[in-house]
Amino acid sequence: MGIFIFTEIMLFAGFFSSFVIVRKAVPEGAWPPPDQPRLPFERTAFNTAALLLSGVALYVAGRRFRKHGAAAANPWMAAAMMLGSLFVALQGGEWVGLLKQGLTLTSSQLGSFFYVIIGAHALHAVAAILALALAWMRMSRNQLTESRLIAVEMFWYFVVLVWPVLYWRVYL
Amino acid sequence: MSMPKLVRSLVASVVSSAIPSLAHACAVCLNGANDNSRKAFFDMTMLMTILPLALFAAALGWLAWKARDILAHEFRESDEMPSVAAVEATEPTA
Repeated sequence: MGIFIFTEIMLFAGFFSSFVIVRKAVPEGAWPPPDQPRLPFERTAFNTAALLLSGVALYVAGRRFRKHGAAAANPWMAAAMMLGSLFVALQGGEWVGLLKQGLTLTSSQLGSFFYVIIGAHALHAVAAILALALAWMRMSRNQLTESRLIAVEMFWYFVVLVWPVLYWRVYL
Repeated sequence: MSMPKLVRSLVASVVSSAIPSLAHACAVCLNGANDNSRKAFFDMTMLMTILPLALFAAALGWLAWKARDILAHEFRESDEMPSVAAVEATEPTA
């Protein structure tokens, strides 16, 4: 999982660097493009809060699992999963709104970068939520091992921690 | 490659190197046109250079920390064992 996270960090660093270079090549005041909708920065702050809270919930779940066992960690793990799902659902709603306003993959450089970078993150979030769900089911049956929990934690923490960087850079 | 194509390629190469503005067909050639863009290139080159090294360093640091933890337990166990001299001293002599 460590090697996987390493490659994922480099993937997002590549996206990030290409976005920053293209963004800085545009003259002052011309970004975002005048004919394109503005990204909903304020509304996405709520999604961000949900994702960060899911990271906190998973942290608490991990601590409780190690100290008190599976039963004590189970509701926290479920909370982490719910908050993560809420984040993905809200992001999906936001995408529908942006598509209706004319921001598409081919409408501008902003659209291309937005859907590729934020889409890649959403894809990772969905995969990590599935991993969390599997871990939660194992936890409910008292079959979750420490190493599996660490792997899921690493994946989810990556999804949670890379988001503020993307939010700050792409939405602002 | 047929001869005329080769000649055309050579002529295009010579002309584009002689007139630098024609060589700006490259997607990134014009990106260094302003200070912001140049700074972005520099910053992102630094990021992409340092990030993998920092990740390797972090992974090695973590491994060293874990190894130190494991080895500390290893040596404590052997330290807790009685020495050969102590065992011999307690054994009855023949």
